Amino acid sequence: MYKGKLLSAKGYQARYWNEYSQTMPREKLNELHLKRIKNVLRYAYETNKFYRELYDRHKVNIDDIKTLDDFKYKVPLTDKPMIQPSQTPDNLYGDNLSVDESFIAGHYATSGTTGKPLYEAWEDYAIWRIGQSWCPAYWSVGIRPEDTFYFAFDFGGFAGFWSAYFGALRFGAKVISGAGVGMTTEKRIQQILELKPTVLVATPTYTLHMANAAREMGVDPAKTSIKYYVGAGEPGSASIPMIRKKIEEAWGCKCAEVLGVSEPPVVAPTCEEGDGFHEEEMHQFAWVRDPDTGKEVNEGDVGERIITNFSNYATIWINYRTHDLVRPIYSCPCGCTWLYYKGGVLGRTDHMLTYKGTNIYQSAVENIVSSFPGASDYFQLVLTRENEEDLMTIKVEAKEDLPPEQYATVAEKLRMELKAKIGVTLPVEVVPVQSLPRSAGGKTRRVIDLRPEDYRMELAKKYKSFE
Amino acid sequence: MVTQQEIEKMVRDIKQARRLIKEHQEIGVPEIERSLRIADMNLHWVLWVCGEAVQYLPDLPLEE
Repeated sequence: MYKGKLLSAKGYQARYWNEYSQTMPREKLNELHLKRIKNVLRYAYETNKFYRELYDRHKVNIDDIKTLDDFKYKVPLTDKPMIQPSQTPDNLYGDNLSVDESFIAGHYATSGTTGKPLYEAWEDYAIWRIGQSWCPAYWSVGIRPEDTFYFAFDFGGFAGFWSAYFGALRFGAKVISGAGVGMTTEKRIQQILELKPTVLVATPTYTLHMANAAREMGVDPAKTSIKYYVGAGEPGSASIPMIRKKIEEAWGCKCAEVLGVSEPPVVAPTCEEGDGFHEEEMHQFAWVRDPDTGKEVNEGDVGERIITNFSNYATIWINYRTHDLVRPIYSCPCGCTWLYYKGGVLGRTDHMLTYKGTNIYQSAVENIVSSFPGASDYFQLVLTRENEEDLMTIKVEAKEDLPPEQYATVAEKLRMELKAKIGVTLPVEVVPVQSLPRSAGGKTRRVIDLRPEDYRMELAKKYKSFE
Repeated sequence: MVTQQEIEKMVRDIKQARRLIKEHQEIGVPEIERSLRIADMNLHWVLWVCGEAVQYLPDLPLEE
């Protein structure tokens, strides 16, 4: 038997995945960020139609960017709706593409919550560079290269879990895919029992659903081989303590969570101290902006996370709005100097609901429903919680000329349309005209949240500071 | 904790290794060219996380 080791003895004793970069002094980090930002700006201007036109329109002179404040306030913010319109069937990646298509090694997409997914191209270096952004989180929770990962998700085009998979490979771990034709939760439980993975990667709600399914099979999830849980896709173990507690109790495991957006899919690792994330400052520069004033918030105040990514030279993200509301802290007891977001993601600047790991914007549903034949503008999103999962039912009033016998047909067609455009299956109920309650202004209350009060209180705490 | 001296020596050696790799990156054997490209990316990444590299395209001229 070969007796080699994946790391040296000194490496195994390391507290951090990379102590040198994770404890780099702030002055050095900022000095690096400024140099890297200037290079990204020049590269984007020279290679990327979207940024060249944007900077020409705003008369951005890159030579004028001499400080990080210059960058924050002189370089325009970017946002998904600015980039998406140029993506067409004949120009898949639109104007935000800096390389010849031959350099593209990976095609990924956002979950399509605005009705149309945003495509992004990764080059070969980006694939493992982005994957590697997960490694500080793996290491911080105690996972080591000898561990075995089990990925309980279907391998679609969603960038997030792919990057976790690439990250686990880069980490040196054994990986098992829980995807496949006909895969069910029960089969995944069987695989866990048979293959004995030590790390479970899934969305928080699905992880709790798996625990319930295991118990129904007579299996105690806390007695399986799982020792660690890594969550992504929706707020979970770091942002919502109650979910963390439930996962830890159900699986008898230690939890880690990462913060990321699909576009740039680099993730911020959870902090070993508990309730937040560190920005991955080798991959990104981030600052936190007051959505009202446009200025950087003070330490401890809540604002929107704005990121500039260094990990993909195919699709570029500069001063990009994540719409995630966070509370920045510049020192953390864990010793990591990377910007810390206390409490994780506190909310969204735009109204959004997360359903089974997919972000759903009210406006996206509204766009689809309001233009759908047979459906009126009056609808409700009814949120309930069953078996540790958020459920959403769409109740929509029929148009006045729709015969009642066609309600079920319209509901089924609308369900399929939502599935095609948003990517999740939502129950749809078509109800008679004037059957939904109206407010004084004549509009229906769009979101009806019937989830348990204690669960909603947990969520509400996250929003309290900026209401 | 790794010392600054250890980092500085490693950085010097890696820059030298990248120079040597680049001399052979157009050798005309696809398997070797791809392998050297991947090796260079890995070395670029080490320089990056040590705060040395600031140009995020490994194909661009080496930074000294």
